[in-house]
Amino acid sequence: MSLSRMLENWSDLNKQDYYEDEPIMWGMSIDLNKCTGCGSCVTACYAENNIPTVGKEKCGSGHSMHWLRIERYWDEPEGEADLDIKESEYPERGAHFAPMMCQQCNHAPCEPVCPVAATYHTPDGLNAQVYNRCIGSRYCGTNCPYKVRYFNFFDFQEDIPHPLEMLLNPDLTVRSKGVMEKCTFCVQRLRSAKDAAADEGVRGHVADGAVQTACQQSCPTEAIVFGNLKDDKSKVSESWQSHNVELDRHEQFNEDERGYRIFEELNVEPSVMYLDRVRNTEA
Amino acid sequence: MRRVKTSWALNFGKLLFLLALGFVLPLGAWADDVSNQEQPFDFPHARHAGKFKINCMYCHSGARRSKVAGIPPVAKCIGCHSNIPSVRETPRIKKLFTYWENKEPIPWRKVHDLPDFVEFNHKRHVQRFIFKDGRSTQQTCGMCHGDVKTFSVGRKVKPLTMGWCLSCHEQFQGDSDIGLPTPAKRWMIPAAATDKPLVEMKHPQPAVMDAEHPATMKASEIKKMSNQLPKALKEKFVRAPHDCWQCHK
Repeated sequence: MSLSRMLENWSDLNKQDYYEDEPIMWGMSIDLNKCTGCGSCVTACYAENNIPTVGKEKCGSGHSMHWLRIERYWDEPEGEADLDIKESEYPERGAHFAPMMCQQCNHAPCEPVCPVAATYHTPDGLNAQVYNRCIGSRYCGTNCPYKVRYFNFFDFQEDIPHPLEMLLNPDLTVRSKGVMEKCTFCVQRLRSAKDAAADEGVRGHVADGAVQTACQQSCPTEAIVFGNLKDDKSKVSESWQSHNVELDRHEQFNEDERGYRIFEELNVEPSVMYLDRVRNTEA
Repeated sequence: MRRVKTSWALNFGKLLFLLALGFVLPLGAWADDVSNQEQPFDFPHARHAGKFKINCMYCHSGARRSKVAGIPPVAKCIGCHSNIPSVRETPRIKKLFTYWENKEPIPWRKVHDLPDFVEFNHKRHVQRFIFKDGRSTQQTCGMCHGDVKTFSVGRKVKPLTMGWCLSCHEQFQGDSDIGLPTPAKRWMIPAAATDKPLVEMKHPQPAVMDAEHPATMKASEIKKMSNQLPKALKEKFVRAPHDCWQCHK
């Protein structure tokens, strides 16, 4: 198959679902119209996932550590009405925000480059990171187009003063020095949801709404929707369908819809859909 | 000349071997000591679980409903022992009542301590083997904790390593006989570890398994067993990826 034919038929190539028998594929949808950039999702993520707060200095030297970050964009003023405020520090329309976490790519660039297979794809569509297997080559972080993988340059959690280590979440590891880490879609919550479902005699299937990620739970405007993409009636897949976003398409050909996935033209097949912010450029 | 060279190499090899042995042996002994360290006092499991046949889950009551089995609070000990005057004056019980009167917990040392990155769920195993399959409690708990009814204080007798876990889970992955809604598609389910008669099984099962020691099966036997599986299942068996995130966190 020539390269051009391969590129033309890329979407068909993508349609192979290696995990079609799996009842679950986790996905997310984030409505940027609703996002106010308040940062509660970031705080919730820190609390839930034992993420160390590294401080301003370490962030400045490239040792930042936040599984979920709020990216802030300032719009260039456009149109006549904006001309007089072009020079101002705070353009009238203000910033707009995009929460950015691991997109759990189905064709993840981080996975094939790991020399020890510490990152791999789980059957339920997560991009897993096995901390005890990671040797800290940081190749995955280099290869990630979203730059959402973070490396433990230090043993941050050893500095916690005594009673405060009780705040750590026992459901997941406290990562140590030399280990790569990233958003897991709160896999400990997914695991306990499956556990609860198994108690009721259902294996594998988790009812829609039975599990929330920490960021979703804390979002005051409910901009984040999380759920099972293989369940047609779940909130998240209804959101994907209504905005005409499909998983195995590397470009969403919909001019009128707001749905898109970041960097989908790279064919990485992210599981997170964003809904573009609508603005009144006339005002 | 040649003979001299050989013997030098041989001696060097012996030296290396001895050195290596010298390093490995004390380390092994040390590792064993950590898991079997001294406890505040010798709790006689043999008397409670062995002689009086108290169900494991009477004291370790978390096992059936949570990830951790749990150590009973002092109140649970006192609840029975305040009504057993015959042993009230024995040294261990005196010590127990000292803790009770001082309102202190007994500082037990953790014996079966898995690394932080390992997720083990007691509930799933207990619900499956005891409540669903109807195995005896002591047999089920004994798979990982050894024959506790003969112990005094708890000891770590099984390795509790990943390979040891997999030696059980790997044999049973594949088809399932317990009426799952999704047939034959699940991985890592210890499907065959039931007491159901073999004739009802859809495919030949391993001769499971001396239940007390599920990990004792030889590799050659596992291979023989997997060769008997139906072809479709065998392919699945071979290709089935292990989902690390089921047990690692």
